[in-house]
Amino acid sequence: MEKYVFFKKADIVLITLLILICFALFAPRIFPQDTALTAVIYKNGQEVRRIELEGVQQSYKVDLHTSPDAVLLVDKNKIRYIHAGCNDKLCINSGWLQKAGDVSACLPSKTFVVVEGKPSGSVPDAVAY
Amino acid sequence: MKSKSNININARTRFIALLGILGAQAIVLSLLENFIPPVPGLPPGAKLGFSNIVTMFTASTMGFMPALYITVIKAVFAGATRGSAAFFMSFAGGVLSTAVMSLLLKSKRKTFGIIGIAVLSAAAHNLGQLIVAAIISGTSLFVSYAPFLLIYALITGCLTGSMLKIIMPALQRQSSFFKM
Repeated sequence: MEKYVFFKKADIVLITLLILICFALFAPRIFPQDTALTAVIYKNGQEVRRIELEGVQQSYKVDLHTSPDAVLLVDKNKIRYIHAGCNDKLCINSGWLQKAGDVSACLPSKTFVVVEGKPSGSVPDAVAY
Repeated sequence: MKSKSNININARTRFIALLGILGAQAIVLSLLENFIPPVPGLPPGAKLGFSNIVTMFTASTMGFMPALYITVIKAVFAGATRGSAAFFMSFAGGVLSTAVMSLLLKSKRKTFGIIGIAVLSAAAHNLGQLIVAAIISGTSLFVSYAPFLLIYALITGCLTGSMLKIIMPALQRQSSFFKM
């Protein structure tokens, strides 16, 4: 193993290049489309429902009728997985989706939710108490 | 004389024993990193990939096939504890990253250092998982995860590469017990 060098010039070039690619890929997120905030729900890879999140007055649940089951909770300007029949609960742990580009997926039930558009007001990235 | 003959086990047995220990270490590392709380802002379920330290050590000192065995052991463990989706995710990511790191370690020109190889193999791991996620869900929309995962691969690659550098002497001593 001694013959392997820990850090080389090529590594710096590589890391800089990757950071630049990241910025290029993030550009559409930083400048989102100018449309109303909409949650798009996919099931088995097909779009099954679009929900306009700005018009929501009272929160409600959406059962996706899958096996294992997956239930979404829709609220004003946000949406999240609230119940899932799987083991890892990754979809629930991803929390509220409230910005354009936010994605939450539940692989066992083959569903996922993508938020598109732009919110009316700015949304904080995180809230600390 | 008695003790001498006890130590004189054939090379294949030593190889299997060392591989078993490295495999166990890879599993324990991936188990331990589950206890690290998720970092806000990063994709949920993303892991640090500490077991890549062991895979990379194996790939560099023992070659591609032993590293692949460890990847398979890890994938079977993931499958047994977290279901078949986890098996395929772990397997695809592991095989792709092991292949990339073995190729880079074996290459004559040695373009990249340990850090660069760790970053590229972490990126390959994520790519493999993205492909499997796309196949399982039947969509290509997970591509929107890609920039997150690329940044994540950068961070974790640098981290695991540095840790390999630190842990290297201990791992080499461990291997020397098995005369490998």
